Amino acid sequence: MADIPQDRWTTIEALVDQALDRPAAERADFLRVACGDDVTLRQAAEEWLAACENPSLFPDGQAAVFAAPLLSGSAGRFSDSEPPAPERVGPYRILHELGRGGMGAVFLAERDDGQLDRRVAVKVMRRGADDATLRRRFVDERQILARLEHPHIATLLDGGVTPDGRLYLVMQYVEGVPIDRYCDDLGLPVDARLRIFVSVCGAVQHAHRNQVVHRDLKPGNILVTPEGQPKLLDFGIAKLLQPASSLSPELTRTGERLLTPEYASPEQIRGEAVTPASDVHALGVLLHRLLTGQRPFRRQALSSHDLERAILEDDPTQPSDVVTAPGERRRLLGDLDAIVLTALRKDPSQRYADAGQLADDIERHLDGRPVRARGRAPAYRLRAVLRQHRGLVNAGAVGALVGAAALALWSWPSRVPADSAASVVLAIGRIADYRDGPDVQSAAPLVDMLATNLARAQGLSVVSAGRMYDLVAQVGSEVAAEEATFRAARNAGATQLLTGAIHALPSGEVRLDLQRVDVASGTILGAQSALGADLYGLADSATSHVVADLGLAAPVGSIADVTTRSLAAYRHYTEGLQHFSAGRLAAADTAFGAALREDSTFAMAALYHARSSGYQWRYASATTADRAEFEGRYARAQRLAGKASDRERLMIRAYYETYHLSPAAMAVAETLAVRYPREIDGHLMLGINQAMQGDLQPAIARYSLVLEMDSASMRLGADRCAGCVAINSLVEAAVLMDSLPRAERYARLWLELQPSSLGARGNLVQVLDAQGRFSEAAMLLRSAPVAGTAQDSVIELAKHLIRAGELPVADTLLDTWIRRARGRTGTPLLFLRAVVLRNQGRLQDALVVARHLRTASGDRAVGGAAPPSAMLQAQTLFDMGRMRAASALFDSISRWPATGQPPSVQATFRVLALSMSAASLHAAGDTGRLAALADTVERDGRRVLLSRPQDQHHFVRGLLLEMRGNGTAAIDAFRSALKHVTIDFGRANMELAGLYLQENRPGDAIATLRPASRGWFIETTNLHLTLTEVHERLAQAHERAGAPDSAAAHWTWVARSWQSSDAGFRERRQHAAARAAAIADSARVAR
Amino acid sequence: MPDPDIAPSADDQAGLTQRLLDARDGGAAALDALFPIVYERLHRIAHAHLGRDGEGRTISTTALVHEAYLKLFDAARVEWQDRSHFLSLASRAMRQILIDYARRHGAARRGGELQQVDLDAVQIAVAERADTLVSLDAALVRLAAFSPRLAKVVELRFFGGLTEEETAQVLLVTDRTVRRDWIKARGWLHQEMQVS
Repeated sequence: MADIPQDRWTTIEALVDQALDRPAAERADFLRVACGDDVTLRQAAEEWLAACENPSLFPDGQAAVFAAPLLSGSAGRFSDSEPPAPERVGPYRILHELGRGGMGAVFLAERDDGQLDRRVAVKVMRRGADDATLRRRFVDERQILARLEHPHIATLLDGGVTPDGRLYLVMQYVEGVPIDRYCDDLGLPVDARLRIFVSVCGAVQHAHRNQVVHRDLKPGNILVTPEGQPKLLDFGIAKLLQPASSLSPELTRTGERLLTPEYASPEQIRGEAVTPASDVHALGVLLHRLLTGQRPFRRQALSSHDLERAILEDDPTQPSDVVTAPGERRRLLGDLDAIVLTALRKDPSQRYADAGQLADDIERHLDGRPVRARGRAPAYRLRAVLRQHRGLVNAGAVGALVGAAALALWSWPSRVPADSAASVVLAIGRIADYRDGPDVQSAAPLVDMLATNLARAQGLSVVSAGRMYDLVAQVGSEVAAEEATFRAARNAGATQLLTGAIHALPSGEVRLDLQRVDVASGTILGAQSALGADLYGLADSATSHVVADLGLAAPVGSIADVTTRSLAAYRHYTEGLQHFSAGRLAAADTAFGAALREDSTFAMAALYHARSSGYQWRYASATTADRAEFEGRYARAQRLAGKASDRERLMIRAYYETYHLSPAAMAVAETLAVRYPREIDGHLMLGINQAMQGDLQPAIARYSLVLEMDSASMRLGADRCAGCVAINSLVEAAVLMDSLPRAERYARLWLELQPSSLGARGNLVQVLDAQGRFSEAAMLLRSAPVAGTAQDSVIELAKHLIRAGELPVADTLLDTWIRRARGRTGTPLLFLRAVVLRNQGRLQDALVVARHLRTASGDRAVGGAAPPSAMLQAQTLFDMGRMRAASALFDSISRWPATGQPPSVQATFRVLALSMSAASLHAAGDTGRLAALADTVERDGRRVLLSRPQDQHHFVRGLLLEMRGNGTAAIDAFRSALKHVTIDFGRANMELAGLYLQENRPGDAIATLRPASRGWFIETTNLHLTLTEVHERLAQAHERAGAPDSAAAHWTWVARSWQSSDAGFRERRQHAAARAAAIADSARVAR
Repeated sequence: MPDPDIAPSADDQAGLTQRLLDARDGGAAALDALFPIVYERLHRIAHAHLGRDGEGRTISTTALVHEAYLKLFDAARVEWQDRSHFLSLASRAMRQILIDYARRHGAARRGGELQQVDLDAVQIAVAERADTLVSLDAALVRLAAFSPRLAKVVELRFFGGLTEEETAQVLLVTDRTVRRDWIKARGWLHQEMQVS
């Protein structure tokens, strides 16, 4: 059998196959016939066939079971190319294998020479002692390691060489669980984790003092015993086993090391010198993990390579940014953030020099003493920290009432020059309350309110009330209250202290007497009296006085403006505001919900609760339930508005009406803006309404005003503040007015104000793309990572690629991410992919995606109106020329039962769906229903606030006129439909441009379509139109206009986009390619 | 007794899972890089189950492989295509482990520690098993030379303990093809083993 050559076997196999296809009785005959004279062939086939029927030599069952007897046995045997373990190693008798690592195997052994009954772990190396140099080094190092006697280090007891020449080490045997699992399993709180971490640091420090660097600190090497004692393993083993060659141990070891580059320091990854600071880095990663449950380096696509790049290049995530619960966040904010980040500095010299210093700082934190890391936290975090501290001070106003844990301290004395107003660090001390008689109470609520209010003043640093509370408590009860306050202020690093007293006046009013005292000298720097009807009024009034006294600008807004009975509710509310403006809607949702539970009539909290609802941020994958919740919340806010102050009522109504696209919105917004000019929201709402009505100039003025008023909070990183909405709208308005350089200025301003905002970057990218500056846009996208999820960035990139005409790349990118997406999160990606496919003319594929979207979202009405996926499907049918099917689907979309929705929103969708139905019918040549449709669309349009739907009926009438051959009148009709400039480009633009071409007015056609070719807001504007067909028509127009070069550019775009299109586009593609080539040729000839 | 070497820390698991997912994009080379890890883990688990206390307990290869899978990777993140990759790797690893054992056993018998032990009926039977495996492995290598897929089917089904369906998924063929391949492969191997 061995004589048969390999290629023959394939033939024989084929014969055997065919034989097996036949019933058993016929096989012999078949082979005889098939093989003919070739006897060897037939024999081989017959033998094989026979063996198939009875392969008795082939073992039964499964391999492991079959081999089981081989695996059992004493002392274990090894399945790599190692000889079996020794039975004895020195005075130790090997019991059995514990496990296996990259370097060798570990065994449990015990001493049986009668002296000591101690169990040990014996690690027998893979490497041999054949290398004399290695052996000598091994012995030397072993002696150093043996000196590491520490309660938290698994001691190295002994070492040597086995009879068969392998190196071994004998270590203390540790029974335990990796430290990360230990903390998680037991659900340890932060303090406990810190304490156990400090013990670990102590052990590492002991080694550092003995010039031993661990090099491989990770949870797997830090076990915690059942008694809760941490034990470190594998100290310096890497160094011990480093061969004499120049490669770093990390590169020569296989298995374990490469598994967890997460804990490696940048210098280790680069193969540079390893110092105690490298251990500090690993400890930093561990600490981050223990505090947040996650690792600090989390790049988008975390392959090991990317992870290494991330460690080398990316900033680690800040622990307080990672956790979501407000309580957890507060706990980590400030000290712990700074400690972790210091340990994770890229430059080893910027970290703690050794584990001892790290432990020291943690202990300072636990004692409430200032932490060293705070002075060393890198500048790039300064702004972010400032922002968070601001918010913290606000929320901390009432922290004292609940005895909150140590809140952040606002003080950067070393950075600020001593004599500017900004160097004032103010602490609010005791305010005695004499209203109820001579026995002094403490007006704690007033203290909190003052602290909160004053913190909002620009240029003033205020110690949080909670911190003061804790510090005073620390001073102790033997000290008199006044003195205690002073000491606390000094400890907090404050330079000035506010103290005072409240008295009741016969008139019923309350007077607050305040003194501003210099902490160092005790001299009084200023004094004010404030009058008010109640504590709220007092706080407001006193704030303005103090602020004026300090020569600073008054803070915007005040506590008195928010109507609530409950201070607890107010605390939640301010916390919610911080989350909201930072874009953390989920956290804001929770906070506002909590506020409402404390005070169910808190109207403003209800408004923000509505504004933070899940429906807002889950739009593409929202359900009917989400929409209902959203509506319910707004309804509640409306109801409560009646009981609130005038200003609050107007604000709630303004938001409510605007969100529901109600015609009443404009009037309400105007009233709000006029009556309360200091209220940013009023101006913002007014601007939005004006823009929606198409009045761009006044809207721009309004937005600019909002931007001016709110630039301070924009700089502080608030993602959702009024200023952000305003500047976004400004960019858009400029684009609509065809003023791209202006749009770019706004976009760059935004990016300057908020460098890490995804929205800001996305805007600038869009503007650059709109100007055709694609490579600049691409570079911008590749620059520093911004806030937001990985998927957000992918969506941004995909949109850019579409606008730049890089459709195949976009397709691949989206496809990859769609596979990774879980559940409904992939919906926006699918939508974008459909856009790509339609632009590529791959309509069959697009239809599949559209159907997939429909089934993925069920037939649930998404967003309460017709599902966008149904629109997409209908539009794709339209693109394919299946007009009747398209029209039918559009019709059914227009009749979609939209439950519980304001009429205005419902009407908008109907208008759109019916117009598209009309367009489909028109394309099919069926004009019978067009007139009736136009009437319906007109009627529905009147119920809508937005300008374009109001005018949409002109579009339908235009179609009718066109059918009747009345080109001029049709042009007028279409122009009426497009009268108000908005971002929605649709069929009207295409039809109008087509008519212009027919009437030989190519310039007008170009003007109509050029804005559409920019791909602005592409996910919406490309719903009823594709960039490719816009380019095609523009190409035609440019040719007619006698501008062949421009035409060629567009033709090229078209040909490229439709490269892999369906058959239906082939002719048009060929035409485009031919035209482009022809123009290029004649240009060449001309030269 | 908790065995730290067998229970990876949460971070290890996340890292490995990511590497498995990466392997999808990286192709054969990335997959190969995972092999030593899979091998090592599978060996440990196999040994823990079968070797520790002397008597071979009945445990199936499938169970071993699945246990390794669950221990190594975060199953929630892994889709069936990646799981297929893993199963393929695990089968290969399993084969290597077992054949190594078999060879060791043979070596031991011929010149190692077992010399001192009296051979009894049980041990003779065990020795024969070792021989069978070694001979099977050699034959499998020859089979792979002219039909890699047949050899792969054997590796997956016999060494990996995969079902017909799982095998079909890994190889991206039909169940029927797997059934036929299995029949042909065993037949051919039987012949080869007869000769050697």
